[in-house]
Amino acid sequence: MTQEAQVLDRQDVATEVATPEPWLAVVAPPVDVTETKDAIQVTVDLPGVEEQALDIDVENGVLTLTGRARVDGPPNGERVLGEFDAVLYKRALRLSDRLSAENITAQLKHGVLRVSIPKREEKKARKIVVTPA
Amino acid sequence: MIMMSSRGPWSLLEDLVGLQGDFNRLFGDGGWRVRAGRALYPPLNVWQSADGLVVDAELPGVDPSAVELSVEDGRLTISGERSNGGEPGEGAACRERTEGKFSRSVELPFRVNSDQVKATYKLGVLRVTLPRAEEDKPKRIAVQAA
Repeated sequence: MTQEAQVLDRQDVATEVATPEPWLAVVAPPVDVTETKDAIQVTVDLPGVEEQALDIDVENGVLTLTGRARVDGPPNGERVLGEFDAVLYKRALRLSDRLSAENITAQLKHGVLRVSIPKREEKKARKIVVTPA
Repeated sequence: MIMMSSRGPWSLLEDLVGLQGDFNRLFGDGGWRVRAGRALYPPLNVWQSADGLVVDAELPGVDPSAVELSVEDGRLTISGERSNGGEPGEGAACRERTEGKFSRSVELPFRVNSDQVKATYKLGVLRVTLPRAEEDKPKRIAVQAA
């Protein structure tokens, strides 16, 4: 990671503390990044996040994922063990200009988000035919 | 850990929050220390009431039918295997998501009717509801006037 990216990183998180729910911990969810011939696949664990509580934005070449995870106990239950909590998941990825930000697709299922970012079609080398005069 | 390679997907993507995330996981707010250690997987929440126990396990992307639940010797055990897939010919730049076999047990504070134990799976969270056995529930004994 470049120094520039690290600086951006801190600024990014610092500004995000000003959320509507400042008491929520901001957590970077684990991510798998894989590459196929035509696209980059980003897979993110977002347990407890409903579709309506998930935001995916692309701005200035940065893909930002924000998800609000809920933790709801049963009524009248007293929590006797707590190892995960309601959090604000947040992760930002800078997209190369070789990726097509306009055609990103995303699917959320069983607490896992799969984002597919297609590669731009490489400009094909054109053969110029010289026509005889 | 964030893995970087000069080629492959990370040359197309730059992670902006990853470092901060690792920092959070190591030093973050109470409770998140659990996440730093892979030994305790999946993380659990347990609620207790007069009616029984509710155990939530954070297991995103797991086939619920492949999760094994057992109630034996006064403990609930949740076990299975988490596989994140991956297609042949696919290059991977970064694999942070937990993968592999897991097993966790919860000591039950009372007897349960094992045939009434229910499990549901929603938003990547497995919820096991264990009703307290009727004969084990505390009974209120009314004092009768002589």
